[in-house]
Amino acid sequence: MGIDLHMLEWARAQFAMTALFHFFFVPFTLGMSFLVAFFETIYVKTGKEEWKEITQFWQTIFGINFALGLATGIIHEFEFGTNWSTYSWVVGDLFGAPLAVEGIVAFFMEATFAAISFFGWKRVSTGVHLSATWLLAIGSNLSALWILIANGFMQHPSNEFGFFNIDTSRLEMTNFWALITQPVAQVKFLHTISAGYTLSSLFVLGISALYLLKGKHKDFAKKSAAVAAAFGLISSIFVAVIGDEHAYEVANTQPTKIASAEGLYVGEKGAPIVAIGIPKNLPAEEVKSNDEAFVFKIELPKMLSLLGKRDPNAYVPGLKDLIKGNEEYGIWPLKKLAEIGKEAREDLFKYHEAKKVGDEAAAEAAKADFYKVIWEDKDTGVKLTKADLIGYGYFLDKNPDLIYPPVPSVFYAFHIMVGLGFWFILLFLMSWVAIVKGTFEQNKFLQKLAVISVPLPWIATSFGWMTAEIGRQPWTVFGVLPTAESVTPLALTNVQATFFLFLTAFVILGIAELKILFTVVKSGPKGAH
Amino acid sequence: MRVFIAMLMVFLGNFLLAADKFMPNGINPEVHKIHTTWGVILFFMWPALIIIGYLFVEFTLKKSGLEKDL
Repeated sequence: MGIDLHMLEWARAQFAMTALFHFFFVPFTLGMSFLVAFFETIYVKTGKEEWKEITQFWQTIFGINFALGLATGIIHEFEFGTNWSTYSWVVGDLFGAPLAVEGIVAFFMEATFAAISFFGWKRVSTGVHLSATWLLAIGSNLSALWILIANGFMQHPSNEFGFFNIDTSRLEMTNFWALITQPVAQVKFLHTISAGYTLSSLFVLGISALYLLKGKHKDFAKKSAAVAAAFGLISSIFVAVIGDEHAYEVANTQPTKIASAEGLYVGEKGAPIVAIGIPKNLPAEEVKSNDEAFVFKIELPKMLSLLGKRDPNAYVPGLKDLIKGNEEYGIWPLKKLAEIGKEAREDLFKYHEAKKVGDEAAAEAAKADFYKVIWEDKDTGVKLTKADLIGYGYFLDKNPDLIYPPVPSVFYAFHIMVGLGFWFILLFLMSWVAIVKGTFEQNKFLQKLAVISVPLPWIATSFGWMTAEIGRQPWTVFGVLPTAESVTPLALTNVQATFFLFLTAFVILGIAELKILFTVVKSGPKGAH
Repeated sequence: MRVFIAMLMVFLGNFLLAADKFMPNGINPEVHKIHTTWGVILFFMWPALIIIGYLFVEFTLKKSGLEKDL
């Protein structure tokens, strides 16, 4: 059945809206769960009631977000079934396994220990309660691990952990260990959780600074700020370090994403990073030099080659190379990849037709052709079969510019995220130095900076998520399953109706969340319980 | 410190994987191949980050004089 592209965009918008709303709560939960565990550990070690009060205040705020994070996450699961049923059917055997583990970890481990941690203060011993708080934090973060393993598969599907089964026409798992330990997924996990730690630390620092500015709850605020500044400083530095490794993985596994994120239309040796610039959205085939692709730009020479390939003089392919091919570097033109993909689709069709009429010889011939090795690297043993390129068949008669995401969107999302990341390191560093020197309480300017910076990590994490997901387009599973072929062929009105239904629900939930949050913050530590 | 240096060396060791080598679709075959050991090492950076983060919190509280009884 043909897909209404208008409907596809609505389905994508609905999923993006749900993901972004869900992601307002997730990083906060990831970080706050550990900050609460830190506060409680200090309480248990010192035996001082003031630390218990600090723990309970931040735990209340954590609890509000925890509940909404869980609720909005469930909507995703339904959307996979309603709007993305073709995707779910094709990749369910691979994508479903980590998702199922996440469900078990999230709902069993988190629910059990959340109950003890939130409601067990007077019901269990101090040691049991502390253990529950730590296990809740570990469980929350393990949930993220499994989700990001599933997402890692979408970003970098390797035939080392799965293959396209000609009999079932589905991707099936062959190596669970390789799936869960693939560096793309692990790096994504580390980058996401450390961004969550940064976000929640900045929230605690900002609210503590607000109390100091108002002259309220001073002891509470100073101690909370010290914990947040220390954890935030370590976390924000780690985000940058692991972000570098993340960029390396992306540069080598998703060439269209890194080229779009840097506005690299024409491949270069010693490719630069554009520190600041205004990119144009151009048809890549027509671009002759990267200078014409920007209104203006300030570059850091050779940095993209260095960060992306660990060699300042390495070649980084541009979008044009990925469409027209580059013989010197062994990159094939998109048309050739699409023709092979089309052939693979025909082999699949022939195989099933032959099976239907009982012609085993024809079926075996079609199968052999489907899994034919078309490229091999002797050094690594990595092979490419026709089956691996089946997704490219979709693009045979399409506009070649569909093969990469919109450059300005990915460029801005990526650069804003990186810029804000450096601001967080600087802010935490300044705050940490002031706290250690004992001048933070008097430094109104720094306190104001901390307060106005509170929303910024949400912007950074949302843009980071956009870089990852818009940057992966036009694929749901990179290089394997096009987004246009993943969607459920629904009537446009159905998708539009549920879009506005969810939008209404999210607006109401968002307002309720903020209202409760402001009430708790306004009441302060003594009013929290 | 020894653990930190060992982790740094593993991290830098990953730099050696780089090469101007491409699959027909522009992916680097050396990175396309799943390095499970590197993936496991990356995973254990998570507990390391939490432990280092907590120790740094205690250090900050003591150094600032906000909590000496740790």
